[in-house]
Amino acid sequence: MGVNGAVFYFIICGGETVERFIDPCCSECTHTQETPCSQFVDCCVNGPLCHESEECKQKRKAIMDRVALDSKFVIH
Amino acid sequence: MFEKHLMVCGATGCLASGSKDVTEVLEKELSDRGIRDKFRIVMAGCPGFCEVGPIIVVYPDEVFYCRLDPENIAEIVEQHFVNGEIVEKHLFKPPKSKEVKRFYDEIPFYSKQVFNVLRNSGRVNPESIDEYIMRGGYRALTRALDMKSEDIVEEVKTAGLRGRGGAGFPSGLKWKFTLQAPGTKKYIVCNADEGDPGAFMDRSILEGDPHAIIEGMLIAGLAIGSDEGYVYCRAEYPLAIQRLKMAIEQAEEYGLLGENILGSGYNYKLNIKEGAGAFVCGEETALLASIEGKRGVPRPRPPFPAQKGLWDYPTCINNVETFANVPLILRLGAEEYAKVGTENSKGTKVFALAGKVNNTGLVEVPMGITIKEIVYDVGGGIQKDRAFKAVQIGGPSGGCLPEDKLDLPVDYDSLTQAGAIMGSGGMIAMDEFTCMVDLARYFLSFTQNESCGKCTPCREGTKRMLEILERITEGEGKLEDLDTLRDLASSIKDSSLCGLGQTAPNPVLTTLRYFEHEYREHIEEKYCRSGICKELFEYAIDPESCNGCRACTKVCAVDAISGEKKEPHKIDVELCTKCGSCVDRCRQDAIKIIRVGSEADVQG
Ligand SMILES: Cc1cc2nc3c(=O)[nH]c(=O)nc-3n(C[C@H](O)[C@H](O)[C@H](O)COP(=O)(O)O)c2cc1C
Ligand SMILES: [Zn+2]
Ligand SMILES: [Zn+2]
Repeated sequence: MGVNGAVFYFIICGGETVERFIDPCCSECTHTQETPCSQFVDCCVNGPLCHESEECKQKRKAIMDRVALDSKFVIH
Repeated sequence: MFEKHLMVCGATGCLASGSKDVTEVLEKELSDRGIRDKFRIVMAGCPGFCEVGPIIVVYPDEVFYCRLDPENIAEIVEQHFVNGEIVEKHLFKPPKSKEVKRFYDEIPFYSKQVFNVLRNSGRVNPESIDEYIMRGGYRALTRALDMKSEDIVEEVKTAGLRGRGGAGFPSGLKWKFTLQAPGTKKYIVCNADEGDPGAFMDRSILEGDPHAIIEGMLIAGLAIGSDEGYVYCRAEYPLAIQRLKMAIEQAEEYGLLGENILGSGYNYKLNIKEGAGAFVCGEETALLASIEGKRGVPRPRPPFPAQKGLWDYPTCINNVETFANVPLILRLGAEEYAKVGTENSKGTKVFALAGKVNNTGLVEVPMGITIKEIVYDVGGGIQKDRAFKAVQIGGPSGGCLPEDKLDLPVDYDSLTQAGAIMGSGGMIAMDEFTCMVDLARYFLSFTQNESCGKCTPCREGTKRMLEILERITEGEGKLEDLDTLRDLASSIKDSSLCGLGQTAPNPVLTTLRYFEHEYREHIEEKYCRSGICKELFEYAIDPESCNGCRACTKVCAVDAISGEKKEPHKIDVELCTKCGSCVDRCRQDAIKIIRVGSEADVQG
């Protein structure tokens, strides 16, 4: 990730960078291979679903914004 | 944030035509200017238009640069990426048009295409599961996990999905048989053998969107009650295998593959088996034998794999493209999916469009589109405005359709009725310079060579047919040969053990059906009008059309062409090796194909 990206992540996530959907947004998210969550896939794009958090939502959005080619790219 | 996304075609075809070098220079140019961080460079899947590769598609600007060379990159970086001005000369320009086309939506090649299976190819980084998820991926799996097996099968049936690997068997029905077959264990197998010469549909799907195959197989597993699958892929596809391996690892890490998927209790193990790439190993029973570690030869059916497949367990085997359709059906719902296509052929079909059309490459078209639309709209018509002669659909098992079939809709039933087959997606357009007898000979020599030899009709029958075809192309044919060919064809079709033999005569039968006059010309007049069968024609220069430009004399390797500048030239038939390079070179179309010994008629 470039310098700009890192700064961006710092601003929205308060220092914790979430690079991939599998990385937990906060301690509320418990999805792993061993402790799976049935809502995981939907949660990647539309989450968080199990708790309310604007910050966690923004972390997901940041992952998507980084690679979305246009407004139709992400299918919600 | 990235300022721009640069999607470079990173599929095998474009890599071969230089996209790797282009990418390296791109990396260097951007780094040298200290702006590398602002750009995301993705080695994406194939955008299909291989004819004009290497391609870079720039987002969010929506610019399609093509026919790139490493030398072009500095200019694009400077003018476009730094100064914000599109470099027009590297945009697509249709032949004979002055107008450049900026993006997919303006390029005629794409105008009639519908992207279902190739929906992500060229748009996502195929090595990123996150991007697949953003594009709606694994949503179909999530839905299927909440459904009963029977309901998944029903949905695929309602969608009207038929196999994309050759025979077009209804997939829902195959799934139903496998679901109903008793067995303590069941398997899903994905056929990625892709043995047809020139085919690369399945390779492109695997390289461009590997998760779609994994998701399709996972859903099939739920539908039939299977917990293990194999992808049988030819070893000549290292990039496809590498991408698939990476995708499997990611899916496992994400809890989408492996034990207790998404907490549902559903387990699924996915294996890759590399095959040697023999054509016959694409036949389902041969393929299963090969996975079992035995020699890849077919066995009689029944029992069908749905009853007795891998290690005698019920096995559902489908083609790569078939599986790639499945997530779409489950995500959109059968009804929405079935809006594309015809009554009995739903969805789209991917073809490797090749031959004498202006635009070759990978195309995805809605079922029901006419051959004419594919050849003239998508394919941009025949090169050099020559006459269309035929289109070969379905590879070695398929057939040749003539000009009066141009309006035929491309669907399973229409094609079969006309003597061709949908096949796995080979489509070769041919002009007046393709000899139909020679074409039949080519395909038959392919199948003859690939015959496993297990059954006599296929092993010996195709050999006899091939001998006859060779004789005809050498001017030694007899009229009775045509009946012999038909008789042999029908007995090989009826008595061969597997689909290889059962379909091998098709190219011969369709050319006999639609181009018997060419066979007769070869036999009775010792004449090959297409200028292919070397014994059966000569070249001569038409003095009326020749302007004496001398272009032909320069390309003739044996100095067979003589004549003064601005005077009509002459070909010495004794010296001429009939290589055809003068024909390709002549701008006046002055070099004619004539009957052997009839030179005086043309050259006066
Ligand atoms: C000689 C021969 C070669 C074949 N090669 C392939 C192949 O390369 N890929 C493929 O998917 N199907 C191939 N098939 C068809 C398979 O036997 C089988 O019908 C297919 O994998 C079923 O999948 P589908 O219903 O999804 O099309 C071949 C059949 C024959 C007779
Ligand atoms: Zn959270
Ligand atoms: Zn010929």
